[in-house]
Amino acid sequence: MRWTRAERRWRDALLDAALPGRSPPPSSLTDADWDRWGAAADPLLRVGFRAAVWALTWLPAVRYGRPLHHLDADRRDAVLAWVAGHRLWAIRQLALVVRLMAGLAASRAEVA
Amino acid sequence: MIHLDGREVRSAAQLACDVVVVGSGPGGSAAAAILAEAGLDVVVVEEGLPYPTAEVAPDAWAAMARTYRGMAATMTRARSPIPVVQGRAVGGASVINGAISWRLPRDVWDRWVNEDRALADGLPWEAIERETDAVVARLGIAPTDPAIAGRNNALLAAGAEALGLEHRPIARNATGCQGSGRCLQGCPNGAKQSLDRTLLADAVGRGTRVVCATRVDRITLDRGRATGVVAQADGGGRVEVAARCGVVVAAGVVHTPVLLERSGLADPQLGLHFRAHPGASLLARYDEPVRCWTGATQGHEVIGLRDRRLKFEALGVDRGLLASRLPGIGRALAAEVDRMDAYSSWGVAVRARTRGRVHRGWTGRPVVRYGLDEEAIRDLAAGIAWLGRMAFAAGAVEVLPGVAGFDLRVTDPRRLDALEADPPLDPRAWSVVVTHLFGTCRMSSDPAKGVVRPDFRAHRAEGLWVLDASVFPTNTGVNPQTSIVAIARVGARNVAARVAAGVPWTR
Repeated sequence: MRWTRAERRWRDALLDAALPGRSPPPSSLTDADWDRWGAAADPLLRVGFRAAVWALTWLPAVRYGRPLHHLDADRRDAVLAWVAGHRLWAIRQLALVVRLMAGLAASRAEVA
Repeated sequence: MIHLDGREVRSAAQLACDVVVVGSGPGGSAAAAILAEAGLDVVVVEEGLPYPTAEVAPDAWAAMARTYRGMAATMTRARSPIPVVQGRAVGGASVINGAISWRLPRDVWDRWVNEDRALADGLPWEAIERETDAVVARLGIAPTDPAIAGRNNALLAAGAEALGLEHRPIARNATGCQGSGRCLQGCPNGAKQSLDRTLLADAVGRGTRVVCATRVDRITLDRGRATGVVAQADGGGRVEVAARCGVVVAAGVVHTPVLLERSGLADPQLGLHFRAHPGASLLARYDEPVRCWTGATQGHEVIGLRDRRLKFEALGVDRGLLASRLPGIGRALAAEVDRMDAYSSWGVAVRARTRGRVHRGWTGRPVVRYGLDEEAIRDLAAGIAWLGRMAFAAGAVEVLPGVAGFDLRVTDPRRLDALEADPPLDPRAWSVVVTHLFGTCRMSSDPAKGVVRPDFRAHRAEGLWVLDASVFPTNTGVNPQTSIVAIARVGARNVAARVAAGVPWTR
């Protein structure tokens, strides 16, 4: 299932938040890159990453009243660190999959 | 190389041959080469795509999308799911592995034969050795040249040496390796002698036809005799291959049993006895550049603790994957990435005694049920501890064990003793992958204990052989590619001999 325009915004913001300061940023991947990923990735990874995008985008609204991509860098880091260090394994996996995708995307962006 | 590309098959295609081989990985390529050498007309059907040197991707994202099944995210079903890394390309896993070569250890074969004496006749040691010698020659297997190995490998050697552990350059099928550090994404220089470039190419040179981008749905059986395969091409068409003499299945440990099950082979042993080598990695930081993504991807190994079920290797990784392994997230991760060149990356593979199972799920896809038990966790803990000790001995300033609930960073080697003595026993604390898979169509003279006989024929169907790692009675504790190829060659010679002898089922 293709990313909606809103999901793309959230996804790209999340990847750039997870691994900021890259040039080019992880968010600079093209639709073609994401289509290729969507065609190749295991369904669990596709679903898991999409779930992570939704969860990490909107979880901050509970505490800060705003989604992740509307937070400043300090608060974004705080949210992501909270997720990455959570006592529940399932919550930590959200951060794990985002870090994985951010790293791969950053590497892809460098050579594309 | 490619006779028929499934991406271009929109309607129906029919082929006929003597033997159809399902899968072009180490087992399938080896089988095709031997069968073609024996003068048989062979068709190889491969689900994946060719991956020529000119098209090798420059990064892990693109490479994994093209050559790794599910982008290496296919997970086992367990309390803590484990990624199962499988290749999906012409040449199979040989295209994406570290090119590491090991002969089958004699003690492993001894154990197999002690368990089932008939294996000594069907799988004689002398035959395995002879085929291994031929494979070593053909694939140009040789120790990694220290001149191109790089610091990641050199530091492992130094650490092992300081601790008195037996170690050595890894023997690899990588002729003329230039140390680009990209074995796991495919060799950009054409140095890695993967099976598509060697044995499969040899088979094609003798008339073997390769069908790619085509997934075998089932083996056709006529009154208990394998007569061919039916496959689905990526282009939407159906491909049928009629085989006059029989079918060789080499679709890998996960897919071979599921294919047989899907084809109606009613064997309760199918999918049982899944074994693997769970692997974990350790990063260590030094006061010098290491640049673990350069040099030979896996050029040095430590074998001094094999009797404890542990094998250590340097493990160069793509920078994107390395970034995901570093601690932190957000700006903390970015800071680590900025000093990424100071990290070494090494791995440990455990010869776990854990058994799992593979079966067809309700979607038709394979399900692998396999998790870490306490013994495997304790072995992993020991492995990580030893990696850390070697890193400190080589001059590391800190090590990152990567174990949830334990120290993120260790600067005092005594903490590694604590990890080994009292590891977290929750499997979810451990970041593990499985890459070496075995056993789901186990070889046994007793049909109640295995799927194939000692001569590789299926117990419950004629004209059907299995020639991949799924026939291995156990895991081996070492990198399996060379032994898979050698054993598949032994099996393929059995196939050729039966055909030549004109057994009743040949037409």
